[in-house]
Amino acid sequence: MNLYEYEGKSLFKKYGIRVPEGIFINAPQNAGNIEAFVEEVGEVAVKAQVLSGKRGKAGGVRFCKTAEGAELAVELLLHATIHGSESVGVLVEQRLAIVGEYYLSLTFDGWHRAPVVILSQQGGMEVEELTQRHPEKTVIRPIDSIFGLPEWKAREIAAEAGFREERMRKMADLMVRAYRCFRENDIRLLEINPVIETPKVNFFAADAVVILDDDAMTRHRDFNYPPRGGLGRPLTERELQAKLIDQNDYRGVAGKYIELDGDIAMMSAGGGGSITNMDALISYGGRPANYTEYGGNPPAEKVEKLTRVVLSKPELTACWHVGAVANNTRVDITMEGFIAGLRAIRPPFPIVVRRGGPGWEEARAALERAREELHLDMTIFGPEMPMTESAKVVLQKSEEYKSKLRGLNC
Amino acid sequence: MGILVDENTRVVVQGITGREGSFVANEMLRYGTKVLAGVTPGKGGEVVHGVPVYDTLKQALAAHPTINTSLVYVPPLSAKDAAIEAISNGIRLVNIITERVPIHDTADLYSYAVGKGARVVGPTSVGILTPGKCKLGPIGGTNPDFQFKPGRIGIVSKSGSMTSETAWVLCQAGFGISTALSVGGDVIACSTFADLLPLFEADPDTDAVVMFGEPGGVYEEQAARLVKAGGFTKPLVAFIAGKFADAMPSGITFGHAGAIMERGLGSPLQKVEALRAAGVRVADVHHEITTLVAEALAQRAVAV
Repeated sequence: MNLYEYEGKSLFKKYGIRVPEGIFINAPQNAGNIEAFVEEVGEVAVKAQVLSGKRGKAGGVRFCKTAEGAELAVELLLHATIHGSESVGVLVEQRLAIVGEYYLSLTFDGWHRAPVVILSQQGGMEVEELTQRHPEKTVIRPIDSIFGLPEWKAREIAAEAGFREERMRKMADLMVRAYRCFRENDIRLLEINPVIETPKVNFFAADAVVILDDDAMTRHRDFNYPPRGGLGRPLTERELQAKLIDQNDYRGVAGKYIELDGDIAMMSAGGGGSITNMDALISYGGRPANYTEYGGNPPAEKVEKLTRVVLSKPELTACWHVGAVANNTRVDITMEGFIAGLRAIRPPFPIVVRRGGPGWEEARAALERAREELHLDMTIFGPEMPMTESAKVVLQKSEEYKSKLRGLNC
Repeated sequence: MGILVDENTRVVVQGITGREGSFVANEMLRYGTKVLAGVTPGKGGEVVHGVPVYDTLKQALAAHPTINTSLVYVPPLSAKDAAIEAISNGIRLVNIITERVPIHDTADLYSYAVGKGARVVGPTSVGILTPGKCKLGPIGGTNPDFQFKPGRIGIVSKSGSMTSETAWVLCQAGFGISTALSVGGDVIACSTFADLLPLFEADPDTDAVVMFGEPGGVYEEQAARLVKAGGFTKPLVAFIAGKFADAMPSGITFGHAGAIMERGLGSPLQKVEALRAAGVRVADVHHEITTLVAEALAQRAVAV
């Protein structure tokens, strides 16, 4: 889960990381104290709270010297749409005097298979750009996960990145605090870009990017962050419905559904299998209507709900229900859910199934019965047909269906 | 022979009394895998499918000193503890099936395993299978003989389901499998392609390897570097899933990797490019791997 800047900063504060004085406003009726705030702190930055990056360039940050200006900016940005996502509120912050801008992040790295700290004298730009354009100014050091980041090591890293004297000491202190925050909150990415230096040589987090580890949420019962999309756009109605499938039911997973703009409905099983089949369909010229991956032995009800979501998208020309020869997912049970979904929707378009694994023979027989009972145009393949090859059959079926429709329209 | 598991593998299942753990222990026993003991804290004294259960791994080892492998099948927040318990008791091979292990936990246990010189495969592994000799974990399900015929092709995959599908496609084309395993698609995999390819290189019963990669991380790029540096000389055929994701709106993660693109690396197209530049044959569509394996073996036969 990605945190909004205001959430990240309030987390930082608990670890003694300095952040500019600020107030978060999420509704016009809460905006009453802006005047007093501007009077107290002077110039302010008004920042739209969205999860997408490059917010500044998209007009999501305004600097204001007066209370009137700030009030206007708040009104403008309160529910602004930045890069397709609606702002959840604004953060009004004191604008600090800046004498330096630096980059600091903590994340995980596949080369070291460990947490790494990335520190640079060059703040403000994206990390990819930073490491490419200024590798000499950027220090990347792995941290022994068991041992943590001790102060001496943080001082070494700060010194290597070119920080001297008081700056070195204070940057090391910031790193140690940031690492504790990273570790204790199960954070996957903690990025402060920029870290700003004030004339009195204090470091402040001017921004906060925090990605929490969804897999560790159960050991942070105290977290109280409202649900969010994270797609860079608002969730569609069907995506919202799909999200509910896995809520309060941990048996298997069937709630990952991303709507795309094609016409072939995908009911796909398994993470690896699903992306392999998307590739196959697209490489043969097909356009998927959605992405999904169900797996981990979900109960029939979950697969039924997913089927209803996937097949309810308008203007579909085919459905491809495809998965690898399953290891442990009970195919008879998941297909029972699929059939229940078909019974509810009764799709007029062709369906192609390719699956195998535990209970496949029973599943095949049940699918054949459903085909007859519901008068479906359904082609059923077991493991005898290579998974990705069945993509060709779906495309052929979809084309046939489209020309049939065109015939009807003439 | 194969790699990692064979007829000498003696298994303890950590988490054997759970629904999935006991089911898979039974599948393994039916395959002929020697499952000597199970561990579930608080359930010592129980018996699951004829396998005695102990409270601690230390007790299991005292009663069955030939145990050399642990299968970890515990809930996500207990996986780190279970794996470290196994390693600290001297187990040299730990296979973690558990999915959704917090990344900080995996980082801890990987660091510990490296320090102790133990091999960990996983988390999010579907297991390791050497046909006719040993099935460790759910790999192949209830009927592994169907997909995994004995033979001379190694398989290493990030995806569990695609491990079996890859074996199936190869066997349909007349090939057999030396050892197949999945390493999981997590950002930190305790064993990677580059860790395992040298084992296949040294295995006299493996003629070629098929690897299945996914978006995110750098493990495919590391494999390419290994091949380029001469660390793996047998024919290698790869398939990298998720090429479509490059064309999708950014910010969406597909597959189970959920991985952060790292320093200009990690996109499927870059992985394909890196592997091809190292001389690895990369299939565009999954089922084409069989043709590439046949080609690679024929070319090698001519060269020899």
